[in-house]
Amino acid sequence: MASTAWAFAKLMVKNAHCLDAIAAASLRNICEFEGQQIGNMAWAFSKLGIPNGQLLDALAAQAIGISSDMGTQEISNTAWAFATSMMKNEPLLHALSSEAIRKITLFDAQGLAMSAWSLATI
Amino acid sequence: MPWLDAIAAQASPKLSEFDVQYIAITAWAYSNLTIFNETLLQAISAEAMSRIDECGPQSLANLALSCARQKYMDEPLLAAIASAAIAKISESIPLNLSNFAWAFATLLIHDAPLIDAISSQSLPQLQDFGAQQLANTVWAFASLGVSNRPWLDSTASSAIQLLHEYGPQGLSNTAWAYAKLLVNDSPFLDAIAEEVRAKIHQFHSQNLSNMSWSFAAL
Repeated sequence: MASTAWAFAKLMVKNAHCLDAIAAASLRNICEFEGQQIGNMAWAFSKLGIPNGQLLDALAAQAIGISSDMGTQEISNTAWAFATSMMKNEPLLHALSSEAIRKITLFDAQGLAMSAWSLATI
Repeated sequence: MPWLDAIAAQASPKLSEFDVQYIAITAWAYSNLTIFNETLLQAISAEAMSRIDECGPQSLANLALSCARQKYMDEPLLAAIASAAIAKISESIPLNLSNFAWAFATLLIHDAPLIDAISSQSLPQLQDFGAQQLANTVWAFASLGVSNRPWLDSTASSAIQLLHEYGPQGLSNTAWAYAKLLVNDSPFLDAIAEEVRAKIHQFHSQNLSNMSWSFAAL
């Protein structure tokens, strides 16, 4: 599901019906989402400019729960997605921040720059 | 914010691994948050200077904006940004042009070749400028005392179409700019006055006093 949403976003296909169905199905299975899927899903909905508040809240809650397993790219993608959709979620920011600081030496240049951009934009 | 401290500490010694666009984005982010991190700024300045020719207009604009917002008067870097911006001026879009003008005016740097390049590049595309971009560019030119009548006339024709999108700050800065440059364009100033009347409840005392001064000066 996350990769379908990601593919739609990459191709800038705004099929609202299909994306609604993806959001609804994701909400049912949110507790199975892993870091990469959370990042991709949040990124996809933001990139397409159709933020879904309920989905983003659920993704944030799941991200907080599994943040210690998130890789650096998943952390910066998730921060970017929430910044782009103008969803300021303090608990999520707190969780991502703790994980990012712990893993800071593993971030590449793009991840560092985009994390800073996200924090400045959110 | 601890996360931003960690990013700065990690990024500063590794900027040579960054694409220039990410260097400029990093500078932009810290300036947008008004976080002054001298180590990071110095590292960004050195790295951006050495690779200034790789920077496109967007990155040059982000670097200039960051220096302006941080009041970071780094003359060698700003001179390098100005030369590179002139070289890339034909690739610059309205947002980049207005950012260049605003940044250099905020730092009170009157780089005549850059201002000339901004004027000539913007003149044929003023109708593509947004309200904020027009207001910032006009304010910048007036702050630097640049009185280019054909440019100001064209700007007024574009701005008059967009005045409904101007907020109090844009309206008062625009009136101030034309007053400072003593360009008494009655139809334009009448249109500004009309817009002010419609939005008067949004004005703060600073906007109101600037506005009164401008109309009095003309």
